[in-house]
Amino acid sequence: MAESKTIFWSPRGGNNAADAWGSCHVFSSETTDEQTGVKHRDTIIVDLGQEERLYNYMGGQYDMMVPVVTDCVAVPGHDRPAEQDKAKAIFLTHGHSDHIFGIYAYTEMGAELPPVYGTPFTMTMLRKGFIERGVPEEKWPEMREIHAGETVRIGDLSVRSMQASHSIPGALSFKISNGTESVFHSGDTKGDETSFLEGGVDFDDYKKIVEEAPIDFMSFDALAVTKAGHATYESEVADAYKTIFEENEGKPVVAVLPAAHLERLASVIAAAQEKGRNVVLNGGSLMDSNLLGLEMAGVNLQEKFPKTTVVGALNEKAAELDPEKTVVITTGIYAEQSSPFVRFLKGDEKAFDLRSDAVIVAPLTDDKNEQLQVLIDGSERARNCKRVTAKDFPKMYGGGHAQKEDFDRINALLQPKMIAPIHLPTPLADKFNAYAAKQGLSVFDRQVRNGDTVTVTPSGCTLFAGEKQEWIGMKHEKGADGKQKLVETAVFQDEHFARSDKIERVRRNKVAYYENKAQSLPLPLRHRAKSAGRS
Amino acid sequence: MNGWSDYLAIGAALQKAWPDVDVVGLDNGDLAGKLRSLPETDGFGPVPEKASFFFAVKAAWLKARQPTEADLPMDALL
Repeated sequence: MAESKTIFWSPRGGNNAADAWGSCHVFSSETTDEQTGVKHRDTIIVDLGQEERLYNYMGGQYDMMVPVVTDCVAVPGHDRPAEQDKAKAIFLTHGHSDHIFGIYAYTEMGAELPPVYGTPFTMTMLRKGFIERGVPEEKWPEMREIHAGETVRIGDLSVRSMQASHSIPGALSFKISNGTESVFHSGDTKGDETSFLEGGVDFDDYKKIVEEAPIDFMSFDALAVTKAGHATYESEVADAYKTIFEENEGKPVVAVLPAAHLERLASVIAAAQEKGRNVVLNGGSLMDSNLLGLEMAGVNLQEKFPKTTVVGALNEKAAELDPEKTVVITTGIYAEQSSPFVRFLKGDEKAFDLRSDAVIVAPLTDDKNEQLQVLIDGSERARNCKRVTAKDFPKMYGGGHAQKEDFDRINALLQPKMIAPIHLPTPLADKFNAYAAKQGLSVFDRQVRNGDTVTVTPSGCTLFAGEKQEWIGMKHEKGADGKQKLVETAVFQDEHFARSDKIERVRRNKVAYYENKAQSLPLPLRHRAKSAGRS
Repeated sequence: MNGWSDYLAIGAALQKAWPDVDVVGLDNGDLAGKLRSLPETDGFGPVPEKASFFFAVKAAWLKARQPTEADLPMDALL
C-alpha cells in the first residue's frame, strides 16, 4: 500500500514574543493512503505548562493562563475536537510549573485528558500538585512512569526518551518518529554530563539514536544559546564549593540556594561529602516539599551520599552535629518570605541559628542578589559574617539551559537537518537563528511562534503561519469553605507577536498586553494554516 | 474531615498538632502513630498502609506550612 507520512509540530506556548513560559507543543503524525486519500492521524502533546508572567496578560486580572489545546483535547464548553484529532498522550519533559501546571488547569476545567507520561520524579511532582490543590484522585489523569532509554508507541508515533540535564532531576528529551521522519525535542536541557543525582546527559545515547535514524528536525531549548561558553556544569559547582569549604575550614558555612534547584543542592552535598562536612537541610517548607518529591521518586540523599550525614534541620540528629564541620543548606536566594534564613534576617531569631563566625555563601552577583544582600546588611547578627558570592566564585551558579558550546556539541552529535529554537522570546530566537545561519545550519528565517505549524516530510521542513495562538485565562475566588474556586475563564489571543519590543521587563499591572478578542476557538490547525513558504 | 483521603484537612491538623516535626525524614510508622492519635481522625478506621497515602499526607502537611503559593520566584525554574 503506497502511503505518505508527515510529522506536524505546533508550538502552543513557550515560543512567546516576550518571555519563555507556558511550554506546550503538539506533535502529530499523518499517514495518507495515496490510493484512497484516506488520512490517519495520531497526536501527542509534549508539556502543558502555565504562563508565569501573568501581569503580561490582561493587566494581571487572571491568576492562571494556559495555552489553548482544545483542538486536540475535549473541554466542556468548547467545541469538541474530532475523534481523530484528539491527543492520545501527554509527555512531560520535566516537573517545572511552566511545563506541567496546565495539567491542573485542564483537569479543573473538566477536560478529558489522555494518559500523562513522565519520569518518576516528574510524576511525583504532578501528584503532589494535585494533592496540594485538594483534587480528588478520581479526577486525576492516568499517569504512566517512563525512564530514559524507553520508547512508547502512540499509534504511528514512537516516543523515545533520553536523559536531559536541567535544574531538577527527571528531565527528558524526546525523539519523536513516525517510521519515516524523526524529530528531536530537547525539552529544557543544558547538556551537562555531571549531575550528582542522575549522571547527566548521556551523549552515547545521542549517538545511538542517530545511528538508528537520522534527525530530520530539532526543536531545541535555545533560551541561553546566545550566551558564550557552556552552562555551568554541576561538577564545576561542586568544585567551587569544595574550595570554599577548604578556605573556610573550621567555620560554619551557610549555603543559600533556590528551593527547587535540587541538582544544585546535590552538588553542594557532594562537595561537603568530599571535604568531610555534614549537611543540614534547613530550607523551609518549599525546599522540604521538593525533597519529599525526590524521596518519593526513589532518591534518598543519605543513601546517595553515604560518607556524610544529611539531615533535616528539624531532625534531632541535626543538633548533634559539629557546626564547624557542617554546611547548612537553606533558601532565601531571592529573599523568599518562607525561607527560615530570610525570616531570621528579618528579625525572627528562632527561625535560623546563625553564628557570628559563619560564612554565608550567596551565589548570585547581579540585581537578583540585591534583596538578600540588603537583608543581610540589615541584620545585626548577619552583617559581620563573611560573605562569599559568585563574584568570588563565578562557577558557583548557573542556569539550567544550554549555552553556545553546549548547543554546538549537541548539534554536532545529532546533526539535525533543520533546527528551530524553543522556550525563548522573539528577540532571542532571532539572535539564535542568526547565529545558527552563520554556522551554516538550516533554520527558518523567523521564530516558529505559538500557533504556527512546521511539517516534517521526506522532502524537507515547511513553516506554516498559524493564527495567533490563544490562551485560556482563569480566575479563582475563595469560596465560603475557604477553598479556591474557578469562577471565570476566558480565551485571549496572543498579542505578544506585534509588541515584543515593548514588553520586556514591564512592571506588574502597569499595562494590559492582551485584549479580549472574544474569538471563536481555533479549528484544527491543519485546516486553518496558510503557507508561509518553504525553507 | 471526610476520611483518610481528605489529605489537606489531615495535613492541617498534623501541622497544628506538631508544627516542628521533620516531615520529610519522618518514618511512615511514626506518621501512622501520629495519625491515629489525632482526635480529628477518630472513626476513620485503620490507617492505610500504602506508601502513596503517606506521601499524600506528608505533601499536604508541608503544604500547610507554606505561607503563599507565589513565594517561588520564576528564576528558580531556570
